[in-house]
Amino acid sequence: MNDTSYTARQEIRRRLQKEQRALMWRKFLTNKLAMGGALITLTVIVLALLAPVICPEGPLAMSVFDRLTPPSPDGYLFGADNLGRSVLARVLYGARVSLAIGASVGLLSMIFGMILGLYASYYPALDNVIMRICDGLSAIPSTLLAIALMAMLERNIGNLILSLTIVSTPRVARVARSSAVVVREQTYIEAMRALGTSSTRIIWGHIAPNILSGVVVQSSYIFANAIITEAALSFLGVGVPAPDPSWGNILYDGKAVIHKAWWMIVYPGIFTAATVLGLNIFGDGLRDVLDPHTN
Amino acid sequence: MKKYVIKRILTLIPVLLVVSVVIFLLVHLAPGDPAAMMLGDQAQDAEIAALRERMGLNDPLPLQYVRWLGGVLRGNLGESVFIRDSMGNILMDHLRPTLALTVYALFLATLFAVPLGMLAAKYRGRLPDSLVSVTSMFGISMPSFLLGLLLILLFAIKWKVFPSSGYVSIAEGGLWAHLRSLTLPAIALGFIESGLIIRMTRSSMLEVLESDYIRMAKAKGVSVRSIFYKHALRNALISIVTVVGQSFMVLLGGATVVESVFDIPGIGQLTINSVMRRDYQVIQAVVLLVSVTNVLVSLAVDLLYGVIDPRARLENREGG
Repeated sequence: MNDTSYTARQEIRRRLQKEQRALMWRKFLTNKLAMGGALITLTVIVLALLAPVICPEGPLAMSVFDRLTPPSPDGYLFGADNLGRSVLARVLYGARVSLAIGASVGLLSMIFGMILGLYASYYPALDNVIMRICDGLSAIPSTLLAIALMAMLERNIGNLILSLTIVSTPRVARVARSSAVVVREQTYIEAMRALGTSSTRIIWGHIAPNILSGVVVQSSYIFANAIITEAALSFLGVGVPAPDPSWGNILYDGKAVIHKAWWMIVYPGIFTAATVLGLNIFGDGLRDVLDPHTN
Repeated sequence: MKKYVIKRILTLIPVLLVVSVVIFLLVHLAPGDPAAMMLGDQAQDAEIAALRERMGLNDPLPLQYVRWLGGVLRGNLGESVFIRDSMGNILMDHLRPTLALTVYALFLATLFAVPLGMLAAKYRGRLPDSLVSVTSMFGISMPSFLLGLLLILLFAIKWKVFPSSGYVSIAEGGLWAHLRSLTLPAIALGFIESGLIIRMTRSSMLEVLESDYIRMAKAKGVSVRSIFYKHALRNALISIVTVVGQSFMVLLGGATVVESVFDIPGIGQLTINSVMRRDYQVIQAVVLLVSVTNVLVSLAVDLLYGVIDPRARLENREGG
């Protein structure tokens, strides 16, 4: 085997990989579900990023005389809340908080879930311990566990992310483990073990990339779910501490004046539901693109 | 079957063990002294010391766990620092509205979702199918408490057909008023699950409809109607029953939030009030009660599944 044939083979391999990626990308772009979901989610993200431009007064600026002003095109677009704060500003700044929490929980549970699932699948001794702990954690209803955790911990965004991650990690771990077990049984993994490749290298270099797609899809659902649970916890008064806005907080304030101010429910509601819907649709589309078996 | 039942019951032990450790550790997770937290800012040092002694907080953690678990197994779930009543009574009082709400929500969700799922399967790929898929997608994406608030805006404030909040027990106002007070909460709670049940019904119907024996029945000349309702639905029901059973647990957990929207004095409201009062042992007891119920219901569903479908027993034996 000489050098030129080696580089030629490398070249071919690179080109094939590139083609594969392009194909995947095109599949993604032509998948209506994935694109629709991504579009909805991106719109919300862009609006959240533009919050300081759209509402320079910020989410905390109060004007007592404007309390509970109904929405109007030339005044408060989304109306004013019970303290005279702009609901539009609170919804947009709240989007930042809610999205940041959702994304952090999605990402963290993906990382921890993958670590747990991979090691559980590779070492049978660990498998029982890890999966039984996951079973136990999933036996406690997630919202209730998150509430109980938040009841014990200090109320801040960091602890909120921690609680939601504890609640959602077992779900990712289970998905990661079940696909990793299948990959582990493949002949090429067996061959690698026979050649003496280190376990770490097999796990992270060869099993992990093959289970990534399933885990990513699951994480997009976790992202959506975390937004719902965060909103629920804040709505119950154990989530994001006031006066910081989050969609759940605005709804919590809105519930007290529900007879007078529908706009404090409807607008944050539309944003929450649209974001969750966008993420769920995106997840479904992603699953269709990444995993041809589901069709 | 006996072997399957025993094996399934044995798998409960580690799950319950983990659940109990997590719930036990919850109270010890709080930074600082649980006793001081429970008594609040104005507590005297002597009071705190007395409570610490009474709660056994001075002993090592594993010993405390064993003692706590021993108490729980004998039915001692601790005591509330706020409500002067036995824990059993407190839980039972609050469990009744929650169970009524959960069962009602499950009933409405099933009533609505199973026919829709069948409709979608029957007209696969055509307009009714897409409509149903969109509905179920919205169902899955709509947080129950948000739907509850929107229902209040429409049906209670605008059209005034249902009360906006409050709970009427059967003893207070009769069955009709009872159901009326729970209808909006049950719709709010059940909607998200109906989305899942629709999807499950659709996919299991489709799976059965594609199987060989259905093709055989078609070839034999059995009418489409008979194939659909007699042959396919019966087999699809197995997985539908499972999903409905699992939904019960999800709904029981989700009731927490919906109760607070509609001011229903169930265990959800008890939990939230206890969080505000720092009544930690009540929180522990509620989480324990709901989780154990959860585990037992899932056991019941699994055993039922084994009874209906012999294949499940075999699979379980092979897969361990």
